Amino acid sequence: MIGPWKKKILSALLLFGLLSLVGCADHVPVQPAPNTGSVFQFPLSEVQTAARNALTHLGFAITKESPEYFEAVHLKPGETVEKNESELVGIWFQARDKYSTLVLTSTALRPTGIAKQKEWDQAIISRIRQELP
Amino acid sequence: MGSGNHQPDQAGTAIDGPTSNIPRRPPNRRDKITPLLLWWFIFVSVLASALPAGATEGEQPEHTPIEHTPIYSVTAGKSVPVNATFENPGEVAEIRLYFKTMAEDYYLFLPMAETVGGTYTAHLPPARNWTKGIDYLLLRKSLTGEIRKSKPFRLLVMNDFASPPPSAGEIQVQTEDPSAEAQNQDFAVPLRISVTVDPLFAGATEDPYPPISVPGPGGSSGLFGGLGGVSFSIKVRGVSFRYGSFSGR
Repeated sequence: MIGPWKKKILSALLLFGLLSLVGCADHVPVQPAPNTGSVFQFPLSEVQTAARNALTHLGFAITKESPEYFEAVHLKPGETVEKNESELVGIWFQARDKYSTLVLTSTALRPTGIAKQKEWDQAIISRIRQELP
Repeated sequence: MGSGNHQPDQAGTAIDGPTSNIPRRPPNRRDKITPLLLWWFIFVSVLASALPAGATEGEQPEHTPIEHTPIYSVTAGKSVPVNATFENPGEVAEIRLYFKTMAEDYYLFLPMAETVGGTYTAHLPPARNWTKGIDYLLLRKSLTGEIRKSKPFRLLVMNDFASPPPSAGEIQVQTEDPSAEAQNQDFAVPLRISVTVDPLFAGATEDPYPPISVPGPGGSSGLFGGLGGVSFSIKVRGVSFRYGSFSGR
């Protein structure tokens, strides 16, 4: 049998461990498998410009940009990048050759206010298609 | 055997008597495994929090003389101050804020003025509702003649139909391309556009993207990356504690 004090210590340590692990759980999009992406027959730079415009049209503030990845948060009225309860999307770009680009998208939902959130992947891909010439 | 309230249990030990008299049982397998499990759990917790967040880290650029906190969103009708700070302001000859609405091709610019030591500021004109986005970038010319510009930043313009329009008045801006005079009509105040005699934009070297962490497949935040955030609250003896692991930015 485990004594009462040992039980308390054990519980405290377990709680500490759980808290530490939970603290590591971040709100980030996860890169999907390459076979779930969309290929656009346009060079990388053109697809990135279209993606930037698509995100803005859909109400996303772009918070991270690099040659291979964009990250953006959907802002509702009154929200800011620093304070919001909205979806975060990641867009990965891979140039397949000089004239075609693979685009992967992922939406990370927040557990709070989940009813007002949605998966944006399809809407983003459709909008990128519209933005391209 | 026992007297008063001290009743012996089946093993012959006192239930509420002095503990020093309780015979200790020999440690069993569970007693040996429990501390090991605990230590493993703590080790994993610490390891998970220490793992790098990103799968790819960009290289540090050679030139990092300018510090700028990007602005991500603004409400229509509001002017936005844009700041840039230099470590060695004495080396800066000129700094400009280039901007355009996302629908246009040509940039307008405003000179940035030094406000406090090493910090330069200019105000983006307020945008109209439905402008959607403004692109801006910072261009600086050093005393040695080197001209560098940042990557363009995209500013999300959020509609606001409740606030009154900004007070009337013109804002004087410049451009390097006469075609820009016909563009950029989506600002909430009229712009008086003049063509500069000192174009710098075309000859500027563009800075690389600042390094960021790129999430990889299966998440990137330690062992539990990709959960999408967790929150819970507990209440112990009237004291409540709420925890939420949501990172906006």
